[in-house]
Amino acid sequence: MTLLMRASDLMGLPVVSIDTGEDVAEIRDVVYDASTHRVLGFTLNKRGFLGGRLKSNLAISSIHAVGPQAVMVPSESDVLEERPDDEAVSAPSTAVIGHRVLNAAGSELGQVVGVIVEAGSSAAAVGYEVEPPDGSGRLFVPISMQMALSSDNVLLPEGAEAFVRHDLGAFGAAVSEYRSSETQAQPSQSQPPSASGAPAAPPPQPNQPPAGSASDPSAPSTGDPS
Amino acid sequence: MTESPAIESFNNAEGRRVVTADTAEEAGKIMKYIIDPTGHRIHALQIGGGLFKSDVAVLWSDVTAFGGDAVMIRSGSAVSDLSGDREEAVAKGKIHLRQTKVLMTSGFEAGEVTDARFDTRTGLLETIETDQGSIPASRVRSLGSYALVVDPAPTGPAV
Repeated sequence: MTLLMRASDLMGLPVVSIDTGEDVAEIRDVVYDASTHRVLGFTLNKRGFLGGRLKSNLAISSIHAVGPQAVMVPSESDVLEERPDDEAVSAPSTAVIGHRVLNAAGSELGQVVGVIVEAGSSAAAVGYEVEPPDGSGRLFVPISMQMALSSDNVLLPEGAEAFVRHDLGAFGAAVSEYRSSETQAQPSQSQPPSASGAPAAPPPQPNQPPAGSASDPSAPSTGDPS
Repeated sequence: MTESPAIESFNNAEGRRVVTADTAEEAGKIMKYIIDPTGHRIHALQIGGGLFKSDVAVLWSDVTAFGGDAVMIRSGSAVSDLSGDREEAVAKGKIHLRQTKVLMTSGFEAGEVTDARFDTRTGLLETIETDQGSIPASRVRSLGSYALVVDPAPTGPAV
């Protein structure tokens, strides 16, 4: 099961180049586009005490991997040189923080306070952290391709509510289960038609998270730059 | 007479005498190992406390034999000031192998380097020892001032 992290924990992480072992920058902000449910990339700060903003952005396509202690790029030039995709990182994107989360029955679960991403090569966004209106503990709700999104609200589809959790550790397993349930719900889209016309067995999950060397998933990652 | 082993460790060989093969003078003792940026081999030895007033370096290519009791170098003229970028960075303590953070290409930290084992005939590193276990040198991607970057252990069946 892949490690899940809060996108806010990525802020301040060093950007390390694999070819030199140097920390060439640090993460300033995570740029997330809610309409496509994707992390587009990052804005950067210079490393060090007097580090101000670095002019270039870092597109997700330039990254080798995002982990709890560092964002890894293949080479220093991936940070220092402008790449074609970097432009898109600063383009206006749909925000989601502060949106109300409603379920299909019309009840409000709370407000979005954060985005939950997977460690890995694309920092895939898998959930939202939600602050309930009654001040009870925070919830984690899975992101679904069928989520309706307006300028104020996010709608949790009916099937997703069973996978809402109260802690990040349990949420990881819920995300895996939710994905396999989403895949099985649409067999016509993801399988080749079988000769006899009878529904075939559920296909292998296309988005199976890789078995990473995850640290204890129940402990929220600190993301402290060393 | 100590038999000269083919594989030695940094910690074990630290402080070993470095002797000139032409005049049998003691150039100094091994103070530090200067590893190349790929993290795969010893580029030079930083030596001190002998013939020369301040710390100096000798390239691995000028080492004629790495013995169990002494390291033989071609001659006193093979020794030079720590003038290369790499040598300077090491001398200033910016780049060092031991106590360096181990960082995987996945963005997960994996402990700290405690020692390294190398081939005394070639200067190539064999394994990196860490507080979390041994890493074969083949998994090392680079050594910089921030970290030793390594590939994660393969999870599937060995190819």
